[in-house]
Amino acid sequence: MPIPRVFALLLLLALPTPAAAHPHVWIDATLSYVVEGGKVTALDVTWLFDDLYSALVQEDFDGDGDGLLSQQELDALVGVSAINLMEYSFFTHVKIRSDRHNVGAVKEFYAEVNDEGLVLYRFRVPLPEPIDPQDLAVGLFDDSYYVDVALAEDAVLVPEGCQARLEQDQSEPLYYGAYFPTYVRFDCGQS
Amino acid sequence: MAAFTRRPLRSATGGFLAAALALLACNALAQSLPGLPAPAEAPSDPSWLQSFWAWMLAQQAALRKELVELLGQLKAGQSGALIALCAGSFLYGVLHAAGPGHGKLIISSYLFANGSQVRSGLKLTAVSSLLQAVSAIVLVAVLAMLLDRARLQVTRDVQLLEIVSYALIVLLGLAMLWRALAGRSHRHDDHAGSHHDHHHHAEHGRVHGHTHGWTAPAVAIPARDFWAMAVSIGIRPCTGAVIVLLFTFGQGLVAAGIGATLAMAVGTAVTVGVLALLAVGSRQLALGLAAERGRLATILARSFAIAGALAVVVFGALFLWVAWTEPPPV
Repeated sequence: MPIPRVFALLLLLALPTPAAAHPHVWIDATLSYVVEGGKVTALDVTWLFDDLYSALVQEDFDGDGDGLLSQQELDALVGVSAINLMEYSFFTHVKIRSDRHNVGAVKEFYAEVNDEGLVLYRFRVPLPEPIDPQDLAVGLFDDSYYVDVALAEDAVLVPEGCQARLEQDQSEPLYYGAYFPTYVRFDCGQS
Repeated sequence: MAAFTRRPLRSATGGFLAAALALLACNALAQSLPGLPAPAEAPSDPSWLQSFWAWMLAQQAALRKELVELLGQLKAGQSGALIALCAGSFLYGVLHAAGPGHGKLIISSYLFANGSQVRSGLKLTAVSSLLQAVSAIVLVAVLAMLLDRARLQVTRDVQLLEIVSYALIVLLGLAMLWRALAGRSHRHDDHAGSHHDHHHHAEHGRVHGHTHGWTAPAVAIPARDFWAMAVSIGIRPCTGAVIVLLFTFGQGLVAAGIGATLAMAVGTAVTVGVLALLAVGSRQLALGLAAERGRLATILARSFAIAGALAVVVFGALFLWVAWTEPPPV
């Protein structure tokens, strides 16, 4: 590598962009759609938390200290999380045509601990009205980038007759322009 | 540091450096300022800057997975994993320090502004990294272990220390700015009672080898500045280290947690140290180019002092704003 290139790379590191903030919590997400009569009425989301965060959550909510989260303890976790996450729209960003729909409360919010000891959340995000799949864009991300929400392409369950497209939204720079959020959109067959 | 002694330098490299610095600084500033509208036309393909960050984050995530696995092995009684854990943590620190909050900004800006001795700058880098590690260890030991505060609450407590740290950095930047505008280079403070005309004096200084003024040879960072910086950087523990410590302490792997945190601090010190060298190097490069014209060198050195101080104030304030307005969401 020529010297100037090395300097450029080093200079890059010198730039104190908060944009370069690193995530501290990792989530592997899945997304599926509740479809009624060809229209989407709700989104089903699951989050699988990383090892360290899962361990801390279980320490915090294991009231009786038996090393396991009972149903009661899981309910307590859901109660706290539901309130906290409401402020962050549950990291679920919905656009209907080009309008942003603010995700408020969610329904059917459950927490569990899977076989590997990881904490799993599942919840349903109701939409304000039944939406044509092609008018809907859904992004799962934390715009402060404290949490890295990963949505793999094969983790999206697509409505019948449609194909999913994962697209970076260039019009919505995230965290002061360092990243662009990914939205899931659909191409559906002629109907 | 023989590599950075003043000598005739290729002007092309100097020009490139200055241009790159200006360009990147403007770009970063434009992208970083909250409330500014987004650039009208974002590039359709991710720039190499973005790809670089994406790569960096992917490496960190992968490394982190490895570290968690090693912790599992340690818990299972394989004590040999400790060395791998420390080595991995060191690497993690090197990458991790590319993100904000490890003192790159303040140390590099200070060295760029004042042209202090390289050795002194590296010492500052090492001390502040170590203080950050100690800060994380003390925070977790006292709050989580002694007071049994909720683990997730402790990760949120970091934000308070961040606010304190960035506020101190803004104050420090303002002090630097005040000194730069008042026409005193920091070295001059060491020579109490000398009130020469600097512009005039510096020209003579170069010829006669005096050690006053803007372009005088580098001296160590004054103790007051050294500790002001070390404490304002070091008071802020790294959230990543705090999470690892909470996890390891909870699992009874206290030594592993402390070892990993210290190894991570050594790693961050390496990255910050490289940038400190770069700051000193770029300054000497530019001043070396202007050395034939003493007056230009003086003006340049003074501009560096003001620009460095401004950078600390602006970015310190920006970080403060972010820390203040964006609490951890989970």
